[in-house]
Amino acid sequence: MPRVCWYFQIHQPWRLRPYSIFDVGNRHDYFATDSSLDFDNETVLKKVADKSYRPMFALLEELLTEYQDFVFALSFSGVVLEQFQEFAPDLISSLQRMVKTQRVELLGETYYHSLASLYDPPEFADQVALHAQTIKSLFGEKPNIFRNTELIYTDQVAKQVGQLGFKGMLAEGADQVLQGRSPTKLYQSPNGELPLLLKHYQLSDDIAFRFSQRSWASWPLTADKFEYWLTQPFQNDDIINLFMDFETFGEHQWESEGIFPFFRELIKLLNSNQAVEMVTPTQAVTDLQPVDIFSSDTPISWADVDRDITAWVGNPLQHDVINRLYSLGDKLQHLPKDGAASLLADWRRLQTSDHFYYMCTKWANDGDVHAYFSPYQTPYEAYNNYNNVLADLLTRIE
Amino acid sequence: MDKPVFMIGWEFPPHNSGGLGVACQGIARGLQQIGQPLVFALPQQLPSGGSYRKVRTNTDFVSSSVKKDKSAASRSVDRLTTAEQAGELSELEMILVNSNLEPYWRQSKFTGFSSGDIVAESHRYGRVVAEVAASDYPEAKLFHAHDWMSVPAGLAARQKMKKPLVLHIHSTEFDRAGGGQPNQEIAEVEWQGLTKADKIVTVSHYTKQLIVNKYSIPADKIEVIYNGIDPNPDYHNQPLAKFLADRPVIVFVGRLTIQKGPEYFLAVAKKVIEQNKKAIFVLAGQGDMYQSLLVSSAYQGLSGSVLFAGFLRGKEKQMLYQRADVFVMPSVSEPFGIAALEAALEKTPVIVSKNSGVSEVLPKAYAVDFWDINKMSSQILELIEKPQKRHQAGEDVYRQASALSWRAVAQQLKHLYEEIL
Repeated sequence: MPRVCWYFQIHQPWRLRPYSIFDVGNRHDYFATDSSLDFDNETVLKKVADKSYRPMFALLEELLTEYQDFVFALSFSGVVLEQFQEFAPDLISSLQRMVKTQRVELLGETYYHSLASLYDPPEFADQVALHAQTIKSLFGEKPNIFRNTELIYTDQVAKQVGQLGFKGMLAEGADQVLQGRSPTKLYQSPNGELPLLLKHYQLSDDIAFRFSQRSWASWPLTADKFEYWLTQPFQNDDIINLFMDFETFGEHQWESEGIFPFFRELIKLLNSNQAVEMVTPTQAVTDLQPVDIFSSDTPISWADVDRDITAWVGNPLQHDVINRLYSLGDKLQHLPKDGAASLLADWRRLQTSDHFYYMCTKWANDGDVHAYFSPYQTPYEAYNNYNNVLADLLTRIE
Repeated sequence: MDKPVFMIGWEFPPHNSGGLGVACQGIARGLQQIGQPLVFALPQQLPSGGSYRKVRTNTDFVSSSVKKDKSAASRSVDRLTTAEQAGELSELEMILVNSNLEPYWRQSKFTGFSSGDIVAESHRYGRVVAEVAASDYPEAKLFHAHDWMSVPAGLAARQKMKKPLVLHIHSTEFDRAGGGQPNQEIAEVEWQGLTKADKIVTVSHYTKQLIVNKYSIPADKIEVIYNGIDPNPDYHNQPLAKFLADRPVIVFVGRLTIQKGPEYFLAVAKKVIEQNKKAIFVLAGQGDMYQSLLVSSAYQGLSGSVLFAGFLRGKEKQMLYQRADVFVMPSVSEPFGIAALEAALEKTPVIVSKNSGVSEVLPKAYAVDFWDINKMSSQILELIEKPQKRHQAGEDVYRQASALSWRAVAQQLKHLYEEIL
């Protein structure tokens, strides 16, 4: 009997303000809110809260009350929690009520939604610990399963995640690694024997990307149809991992396209369907035995058609700012304590992967996705603005 | 009253993308100061349509009702300059001819224009200008055209009205090609103008020599009149003065295009930063090489140390000159290079390419071969590490630059007009 594991990712970066050369050495409020900007952090957060977080949180709360078999996992970056607390504290209360039901599992990740796992393992450990502390203090829970930024996976990262005490990890069911094997089983990493739950990207993306796409042969997607897809072909499989951005609901797929009623109906059907069971990631790794090794030395992720890390580190612009940024880690460790706290926080906020995503120059299938999420007209402007901020940070540290 | 000079150009602040506009403004202002009347024809996209319209404006900005295009209109117009000088100047009569001529073909190439389109458009512009001149300004005493895009207009007007044409060369196609292949169509227009004009003015001996060599024009047909500069407006804005604090700042101001040698500036930056990690290099300007320069800078590991400021004008540009410890102009070929004077007026030491006209009026500037990365790097290191030397170098170029003025340029032009009439 197949299990269905839902996981939704909630994240918003602290976007940079427009920062000119005349600001370098002059002001350090890189992330200040300024309501005159289109991509002002407060404005964006409040907009997404109205379109997605609030209606979907309300729906999830209702579904948890109505359907006893409904369980799911959530993961949020520390930086989005900061913004919830500052701009929409009611969302924190809603999350706390959901977590109280014991049917919502919170996952571990880096506080800053960073690429530290690939560039600075000690810093990675610090950010994971910082995230865990935040989850503990807000929700009283200790994350048990890890999801890395954008599902980035390497064997080396899995090894460190295991050493940090996690009982499992999420990863993309990337074809280049699966090599024809199905993502509907539990796998494990080669060296840490960490259980791995692999995203079923076709079914996940049917909801996340294709739900409103009129050119798609299966449009419109109904709950009946999707329930059938989940159960019929997978009667002998173990698990279908439906992993997606939370903002799928209401932000990427609009309310007017019927995404909320679709999800409500789907949960109702799955709840009454005896042939399928909804599970949390922890239940999954407890119930199932790994069937095989899933191994990749080169990083894979859930981004773009490439499912690698070229969305963040694919061109010299991205490579250089990332290298410069992470080269500051050692210096920051040795700074005198007073004054170092704000520098450290700025350094870490600049590690958020979105900054590098905006600099992506791949303009193939995914170009419009990148453009949609970017505050900048071009990736070059994104680099330019970040470059100025980096100059200021270097001045403060060196 | 003296009869007017009919001037033909193609850019004028605030719709300028480079030094030509600055020079046209300076010349117009200088002529007005010495009582020489003039009328100025310019191409400009007119939202209201029609073939042309006339406006009266002071020489500091074109009336806000005639924005050239969307991108130009969105650039900031710094009205501070206006307040200071408007009082002493009479209004300038401008003829805005409806045209989408873009000043720099290589930049336009980037937006999809071919050189053929632009040459054809310059001829169409020329026909309208000649018609307006004949119908509305029969009293004009001569035509004074600036650079190749005004050549068809100058020649058409000259022929129609049988009056002399002065061709003022601020830049040739050989300069703009930056050592590469000049565009033949454009070079042909230049050659036509140089051959048929009654007198040629160049902004330096460097350019005069180039025209003699490349276009076989007799040297005695060419008179050198250097560009001038007027004192910078005095901005009192303290908050900005702190920017880039505690870092040696080395500045490039110019179009990001092969002629200006921005890639040599990056190579110098790399070398200097190896020796002095605190140095910051700033490129101010736009151009067809913008994206490739960003990538090149990042590829060389210069992120956080080389910054791109975009096109600056007015107060911001002056702030940058003031803040700069060294100004560098590594042009492959630079007929003049007004930016070096602007920097000198802020007492900033100047390093200029030997292939530049401005080095003729700033003998105290450091003149180098544009390709000599080692020499430029060691000069910069010396200047940023020795405050005494830097101070002296700044004072030296300041003294030379402040002796120049657009009024003096206008007097030389007036003298030249009298000679040919």
